[in-house]
Order: sequence, then structure tokens, then C-alpha cells
Amino acid sequence: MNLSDYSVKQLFEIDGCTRCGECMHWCSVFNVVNERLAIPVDRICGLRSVIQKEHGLIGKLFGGKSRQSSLEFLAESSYHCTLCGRCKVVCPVGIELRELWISMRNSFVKEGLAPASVDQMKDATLDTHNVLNYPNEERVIWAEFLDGVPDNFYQKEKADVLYFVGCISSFSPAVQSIPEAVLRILERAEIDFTLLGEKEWCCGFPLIVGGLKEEAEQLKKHNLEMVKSLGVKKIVFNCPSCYYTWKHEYDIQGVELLHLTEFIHRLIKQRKIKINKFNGVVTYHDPCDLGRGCGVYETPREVIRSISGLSLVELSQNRERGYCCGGGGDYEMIDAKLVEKVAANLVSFIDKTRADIVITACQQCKRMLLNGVKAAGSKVGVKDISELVYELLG
Amino acid sequence: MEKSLFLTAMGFLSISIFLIGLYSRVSIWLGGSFVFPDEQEKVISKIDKLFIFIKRAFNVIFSEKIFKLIEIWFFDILLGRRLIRESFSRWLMHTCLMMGFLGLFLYPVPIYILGMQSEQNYKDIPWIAFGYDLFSFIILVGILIAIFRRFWIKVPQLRTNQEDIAAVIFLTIVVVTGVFLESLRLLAESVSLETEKFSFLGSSLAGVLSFFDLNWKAIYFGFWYFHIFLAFAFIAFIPFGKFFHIFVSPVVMFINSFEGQE
Repeated sequence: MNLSDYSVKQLFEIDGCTRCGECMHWCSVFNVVNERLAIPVDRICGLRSVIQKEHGLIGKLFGGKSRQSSLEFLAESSYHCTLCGRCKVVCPVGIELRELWISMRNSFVKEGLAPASVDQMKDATLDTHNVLNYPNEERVIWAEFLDGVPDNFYQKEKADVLYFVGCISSFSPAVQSIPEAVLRILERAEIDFTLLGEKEWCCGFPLIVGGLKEEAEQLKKHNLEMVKSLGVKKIVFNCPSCYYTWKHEYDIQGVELLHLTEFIHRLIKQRKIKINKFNGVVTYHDPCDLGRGCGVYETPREVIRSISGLSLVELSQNRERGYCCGGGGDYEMIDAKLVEKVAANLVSFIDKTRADIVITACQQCKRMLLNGVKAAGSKVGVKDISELVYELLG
Repeated sequence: MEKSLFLTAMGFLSISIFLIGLYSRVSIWLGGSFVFPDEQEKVISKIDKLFIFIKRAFNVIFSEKIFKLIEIWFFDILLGRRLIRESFSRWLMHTCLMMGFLGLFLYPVPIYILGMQSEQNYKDIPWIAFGYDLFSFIILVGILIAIFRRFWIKVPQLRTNQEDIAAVIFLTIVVVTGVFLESLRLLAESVSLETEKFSFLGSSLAGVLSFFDLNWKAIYFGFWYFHIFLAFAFIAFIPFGKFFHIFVSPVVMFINSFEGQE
């Protein structure tokens, strides 16, 4: 194992782990799958042990080498995680665990120990420029059958706002209603916006969290060039992972990055859109990359609370400690069945709120919740915040 | 061997082993990559990395950020704010162990500064005798909670391995032998009853042991070497086991509280 795959700080943090197991207690995956592979504390201690064996005193004196089985276990374990970041929030020492898991993945990719699906995902994303391996020309297929769509499919040469749709919303039929809702809201607010269409490439998030940060560079470079050529002032994302990636991984200046919830919140405040009354009880599920990743907790709640007649009940764990839907961290491509269980577990907590609808602000969370509702036999409705706002537009 | 010579030799040996262990750990840390603020990763030597970190640490210490540092030290480290949020029993265990240790390590400092040991056996001074026993008692309470949580009720999130077992056993032996040593001292030396009562743990145990008619002077003499050996072995063991987090975890808390700023 190469030490330089980790930062100085991360190697230091590994020694700071007290093995208290708080990360395990709160792990969204372990609580469902109950397998050693999903135990964060075993992962960090296993890594410490491998590093000590190879680079510690004994290793240096006697040329220590880790057992292949230990490395394989750690490699597999590092992908048995949704990277939701709950472990990082509850760690009493404050170890940046999410970042550590990504570095582990990075290291195991280099060692050739990452699961085969990671390689497949890399090839697909770099080849087709979207994580779902569809022809990228079909990026705006969701808009083809909508009423009143202009001939240019909302793709202009210059605009104030770029709506970055993201791969899942563009291609996954279960959530294609989200971009539809977004563009209707933008139209109603008379926003000068554009789409990139087939020129929109994957933001690189699946590659970065999959341990392929360097491979994501070409995607980032392309997207940045496109944005520069458009001269937009703002980029709006409905996908929290795209938003997170642009915010933390892209070197972009002079352009405001906004998650859709923040943009809608602004439109409501500026009275550019009016939302009708809605009688019902809803709960809000915090998407991991929006909440823990970008610190956006209150804005979506303020949008929901601005709807008269609507009652918002909180999940027993919310905001920083909010549950994970299972859809993050490339975990779905590792084990889709387990991901469904994680989602079903979340639905069981949602059911306890007795809400009619669960609102989220992420297309991937919506997909997972729909699966979870089915698996858990729940009757709760699932909506993205954009869909709710669109349906209630006055 | 004379006691002072034994103390010096053991001190030298344990500190040497401690430093070797520390060097090994620091060498691993500095083997990591280092990203500069301009995001350009450069290949720099371990010693350069070390100096950069020391420089950054000084930049924080000698700035207004020191107040944030003090806040973290007081609330998160000393009072265990983050721990109590998660579990009261764990917080209590950790606080007992930490406060007990801090007490035992820091308590002798004024004694050495004031040079009291040259006047008389400093453990005959009531407040010193009481302090030692009080801190030992606090640690023992912490150990009992740790054993109860880990081995009795078996808190599900606790993953017990050899490292944890070694830590609990080592700690228990060091503290228990310390209490025993004090009781043997009370039996072996003519300590007045007035003074003896301040060593509440030692005197209670001495009361029980006094039923046996043994050569306490000789036993105390031998046991002293045994306890001192264990105490120094404990110090030497720190960089190789679980207790190393005593030094690392607070620094991780400090570093991550300035994440993005430094």
C-alpha cells in the first residue's frame, strides 16, 4: 500500500480513531446489512493495521507485507458504503471519514483491487459521458414529449442561468418528471435559462467517489469550457451530487452555483413565483450531498413551510444526522439489492411520521425512496421538492 | 539497585522506546501526500512537511484562532462535549480515565517544583496522599465502567480485539499495583494514623493486609520495583497501542475545526 495515496492529515487521523464504534452504530448500511464488510470501525482499524504492518517499525525492519486477503477485504469494504457521511458527523474525534473512504477507494483502484463494476462504470462514463451508459445525444429525451418545447430544446448560445440536469434526471424514467418540473418553474419565473443538452457531460461525481479522481478531470474540463462559452451568471442543479462536485471539485469563479431549493427559495422571496395552498402532512428527507455535503438544511424546509396549509413533520433523525436512502457512493452498482434494503429501512422511519408524502430534493433519493416504498409495502407518496412546487404553482 | 538509579534507568529506557514508537508513527504520517493551498501536489521531503506543519501550528497558536483552540480544548477535550452527546456511560468512563490520569501525571509536578520530596516522604503529606488515592480511585471507576460496557453488557458497537484487551489489562494492573504499593508502604513504614487516613484506598487495603504477619518492609521494597517497572512500561507502550489516541485525537479535533481555513 502506497502511503502517498493518503494525505498526511488522513494518516494522522487514522491513528486518532479510538475504536469507539459510534460510526458503526450510526452507519446506514451496517444497520441494514449487518455484515462485517459494512463496519466502518473495522475498515479504519484494518487500514491502520495494514499500514503498520507495511510501513511501521516491524515492517521496516523485517520487510512486512500484508496478507492479500486483508487487502481484498478492505478494498471490498471501502465500496460497501454509501458515503453518506453520517459516520463523520457522529465521530467524537471528528475524523473526516467520508474523505478517508474515498482515498481508500482511490488507493485500491491503483492496486487493481477495486470491484470490476468500478472499471465498467469508468469505461461507460468516459465513453458515453454519462454514468448510465446511454448515448449522450439523448440527454434531453425527457423534454421531447412536453408541451410547448421550443425547437432548440432550451439550448441557447447565451443565457443568464444554466440548468445542469445531471445524468440520472436526464436518463432515468422514474425521475424524468423532475427536470420537467424544474423547467416549468423556470419558465413561470421568466428566467433566461439554457440547457447544455448533449454537451452536458457527467460532472464526474461517480468517478471521484469511486476512487477515480484523475479520470474525472476530462469531464470537469469539458463542462467548465461549456459553461465559460455560455457566459452564464448562475448554474442551477437539481442533483445534490452534481452541486456538491461543482462546489468542491471545480475551480470556477464568477459563476454562482445554486441548488434548485436555493433557487426556488429565492424565486419565492422575490415573488417571481406564487405557490398555492396544499392541505397535507409531509416529511422532508435530507439528501446526503446537499445536507452533510453542502450544509443546505434549512432552505428546503423554508420552501416547504412557505406553502400554506402544509404541515411539515420531521423524521426522528434529520439534518446532520439524517438517514441515508442508500443511493450514494456508487453503492448501487456494487449491490442493488442491499441498497433497496437501506431504502426500505428509511421508509420504515418515514412511515413512523405518519406523513402523506415524503419530500426530498434529490433525484437519486427519489428513485431509492420509490424502490423502498415498494419493498416496504408503504403507502407514503414520494416527491421531489421541484415536483411539489410545480404542482402548486399559482 | 538504588531506587533513584532504577528510576533514572527505567525513565531513560521507557522514554527511548516511547520516542522510537513515536518516530515510527510520525514517519508514517509524513509519508502521506501533501496538498498546498494552490492545489499543486509537490514532492517534498518528510522533514519539509514536518516544518510546514510546525509553522502552521504556530500560525494558529499565535493568532486569534487560539480562542477557538481553547474552546475546543475546554469543551470537547476536557469536558467531553462530543462524547456526552453520544453516550453518557461512555462519557463517564472516558472522563474518569482522563481526569484520573491527568491528575496522577500533573499532581507530582508542584511536588517536584517545590522540592518537597527532599524534606520528607512526600506521600506523608496529607493533601498529596489524598490526591494520589483520589485520582487512582477515579481511574478505577473508569476501568470498572469500561469492563462493564465492553465485557459485561457488551455494548454492540464496541469491537473488542487484542489491542483493547491489552489496554484494559495493562491499565488495571498499573493502577491496582499502585494502590497495593501504597498499602504496603503504610504497613512497612511507620506512618501516623492521622496521616494514614488520607490515603483512603491504601489504608483500607492495609487494614486487610495487616491481618497477615509478613515481612512488609521486604515486600514493599520488591513491590516498589515491580510497580515502577510497570508504570514505565506503560509509558513505553503508549505509541504502540490504543492509548496513543491520548495524543492524536485532540490534535485531530483541532485540525478539523480549522478545516478549510488552514
